[in-house]
Amino acid sequence: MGTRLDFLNHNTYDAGIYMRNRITLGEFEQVVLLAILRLGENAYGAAICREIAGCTRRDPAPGAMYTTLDRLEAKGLVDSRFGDPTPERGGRAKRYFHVTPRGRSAIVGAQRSYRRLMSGLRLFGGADA
Amino acid sequence: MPKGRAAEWLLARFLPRENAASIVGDLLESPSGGGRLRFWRAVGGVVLLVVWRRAAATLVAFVASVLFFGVFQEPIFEFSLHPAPAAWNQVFIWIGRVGLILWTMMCYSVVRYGVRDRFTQLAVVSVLALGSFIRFWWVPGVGASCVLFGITVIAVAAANPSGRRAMLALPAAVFGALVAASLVLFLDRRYERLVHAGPRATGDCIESFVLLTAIVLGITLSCSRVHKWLIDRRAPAGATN
Repeated sequence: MGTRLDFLNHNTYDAGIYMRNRITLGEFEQVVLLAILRLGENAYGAAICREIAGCTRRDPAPGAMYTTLDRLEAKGLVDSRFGDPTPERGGRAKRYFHVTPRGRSAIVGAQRSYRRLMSGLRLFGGADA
Repeated sequence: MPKGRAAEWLLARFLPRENAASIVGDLLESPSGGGRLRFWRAVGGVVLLVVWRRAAATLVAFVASVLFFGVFQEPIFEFSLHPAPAAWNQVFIWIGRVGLILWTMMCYSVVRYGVRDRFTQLAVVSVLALGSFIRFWWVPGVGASCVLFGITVIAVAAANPSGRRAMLALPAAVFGALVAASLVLFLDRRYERLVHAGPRATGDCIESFVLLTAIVLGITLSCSRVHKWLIDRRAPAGATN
């Protein structure tokens, strides 16, 4: 999965957009955006929940996740489309989410900030742990 | 009624039907959707997070309008200390009505959309300008400053798309609220006898409460609809508030 986050290293154009527009992201917004990026084409509500639970060992509250997704969509950081109705969900369609270029630049900018803050610290088993 | 259909019906009261259906589908699919209690707790959590801001904003708007009539009306929105010239009387009455609506709308908007929202910012500035004008209209310097301030705000807001949308939305919301308030007052006059079924004093109290509640609901409904139609839907992807 690490390769999917390689864009952090070289996407200077996206970072430029981030710096110009100053998009601020909360911690849970970043978690949701990263989960959508990891899932790719299969990012819908239940799958995003499972991905977050699997990676962070915490079970996100559905209410918090759906309001976060709506907020991200309102900010133009993700967009969504409805799939076809499926019988296993009682004929209910899945709502698939996709990170927009603006969302990608926002997460790149936020993660770069973390990296800058982390640089010089040895948190993982080091003296500052 | 199966729990999925019941939950979908409930969520569709607050969300677009497609969104409500997809959320219920997700909840039924996820492991936490297995137990009935867990499922309804998740549905309740979604409803609570969707409606709390709306409910809190409506409550704040109601309290604000009560405060307005009880406390602020006399010292701020009262012309009797310095009566307007007879020719301008009607104009001042309408300025006062718009001031009341803007005041309620501002309180609602601050809670519902936050202070970073352009509509809220414009409402706050309008209340400041209009309130100052109504209170000190007879002081030439203050009156002229308020008018100048208003023109400056319009010029600044017109410089960017979100400001222009807010400039369009605020008068539209005020107009909608005026229509709603007029309708409430018309219905009150028409069906007054039904409210005054009990003793007169009790009837007055009930009537005032019902009237104020209906007017506040009209104002908040106009505000939320106009915000949804003119600001939320037309905001281009990537717009920040």
